[in-house]
Amino acid sequence: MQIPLEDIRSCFEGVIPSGISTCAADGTPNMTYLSHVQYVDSEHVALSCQFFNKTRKNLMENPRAAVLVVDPHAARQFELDVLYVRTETTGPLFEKMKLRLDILASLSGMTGRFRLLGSDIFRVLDCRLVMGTTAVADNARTPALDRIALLSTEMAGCEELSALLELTLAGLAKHLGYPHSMVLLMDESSSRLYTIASHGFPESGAGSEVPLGAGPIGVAAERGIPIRTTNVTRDLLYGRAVRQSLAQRNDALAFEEEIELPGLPEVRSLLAMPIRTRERTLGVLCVQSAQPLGFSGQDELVLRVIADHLATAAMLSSQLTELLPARERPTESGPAPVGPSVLIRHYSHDHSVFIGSDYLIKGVAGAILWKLLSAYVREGRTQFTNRELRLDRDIGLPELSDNLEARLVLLKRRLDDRASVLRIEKDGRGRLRLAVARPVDLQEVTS
Amino acid sequence: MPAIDDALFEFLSGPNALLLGTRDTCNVPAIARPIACQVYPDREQVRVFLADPRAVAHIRENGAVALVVVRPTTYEGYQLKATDARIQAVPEAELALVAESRVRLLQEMTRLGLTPEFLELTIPKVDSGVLAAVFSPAAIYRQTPGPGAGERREI
Repeated sequence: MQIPLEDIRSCFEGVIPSGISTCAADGTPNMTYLSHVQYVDSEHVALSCQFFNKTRKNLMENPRAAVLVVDPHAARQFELDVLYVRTETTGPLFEKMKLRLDILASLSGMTGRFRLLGSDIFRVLDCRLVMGTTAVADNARTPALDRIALLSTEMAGCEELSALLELTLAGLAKHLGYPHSMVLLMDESSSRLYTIASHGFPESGAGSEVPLGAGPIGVAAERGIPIRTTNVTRDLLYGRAVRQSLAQRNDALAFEEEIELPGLPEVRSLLAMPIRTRERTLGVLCVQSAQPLGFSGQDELVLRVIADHLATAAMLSSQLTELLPARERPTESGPAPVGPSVLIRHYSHDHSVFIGSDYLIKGVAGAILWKLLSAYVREGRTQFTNRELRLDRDIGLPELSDNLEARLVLLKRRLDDRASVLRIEKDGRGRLRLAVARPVDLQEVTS
Repeated sequence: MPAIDDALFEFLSGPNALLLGTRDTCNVPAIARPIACQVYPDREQVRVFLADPRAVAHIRENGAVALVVVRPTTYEGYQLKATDARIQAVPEAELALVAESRVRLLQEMTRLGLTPEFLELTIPKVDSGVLAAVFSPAAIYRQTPGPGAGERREI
């Protein structure tokens, strides 16, 4: 082989479409675009078998094929002379290729519509450069151990979840060169993820949700594995093309919407790293880029270290907050609310809270806010402890040690983003203060 | 009845990405990346512009081609097959039109988030080495991804 496959691994990232040429027994060539060529080992590649029937028929008659792949860094093009060997319909390779297809399908709102019939394995007889130069542009990010250590030390110094999240995401940008990042945590039903912190996006996106198993972020959480998407634009276009083909056959009745990815409006690549501890997924650390192939296998390793450290630090920070006694502080009353009163409604069936006509938050975070507001109106209280909220049965907090603090962080972000009437402020370790700028009228809606 | 109807004629006017499948005398397939294609006014013949010596040799040997034409921003695509392809020189005056088609394609592809500098390297440049393969499609197939991919399009 002229060029070892290991030297052109980036060609198999699926950034630039590939092509396969086969030939029928009667000498008629067949050409097909491919969305992805999977690297298997130094002598083999695999192609997903879904739609291209003529290719398959030809391979059964004549196992020789030519595959064209493109290096997404230097635009070099390589032709692989390949020989069809076998098709796998089970096993790790098949599952890996099926996962990729599942993510693509769910991103396009077509969960379950893309069926991988098999992974076609080819032996590579030769690999030749057919366009471009042999000089390689090395765009791989170099893992900076000293910088990882710096961030790790800073994270270890955090006592509270809110500070830990802010510092981690800011540190990813400052020390490690990931300017756009977010953390999503699993909600109490373990069916969705919600954004609790973000850095470097036009909007904070706090509270935005991703269903478990949907898109790269949802799949990373559901399966507990990192998901790297190299060209979101291409995946979406491909999905839309399939969707349109299905629609033309009146087969589009049960389509879901395309997944709305929180984050960059023009996101082209992302890496979703599950935050896991003791076999449990707490959430997902996600970095995004507006460029295709923004992240490599090296980035996966870096993010793995940070996500693991974040998981441990988050668990410890929550436990610390709970274990250490709340520091008693003299009661201070803030400035009295002024101006016209604001109607705040609470819908008890899902704990959604509206300020005026604007939706603010729901779920456990909504229940916490209602508890605070009720105590404020009833007793004039503005200071609360984490411990009393944790013990309050009305809030319905799941028995997860990290959940209260995560909800408070989310609630604070949402209030900062959306409401000028209310704020939640830290009031020392394990304590918080409700700041109310205008008089409030509370309305409980039970139906 | 022309071989290529109005809708397909319009589509084949581009901007489209192209791949050309050829084969040698032992039926070993090969791939070339043509620069542009053009439908003749009679709509029965297609001309594809390429600068790939091996594809040229294959076509001279046996005339069998499979041309895939895809709109990169929608994935709409068709495959044109023929057995009568032959190689022709391209008059110098026409090279400018080929270069124009190339620029239109590169502009279309920037919508996918790839830089112009990168894209410039992906399509062969237009120079005096460019030749044309002229053929009459014997069959046309849909290649838009989905359940209809591979279906023959009536001509």
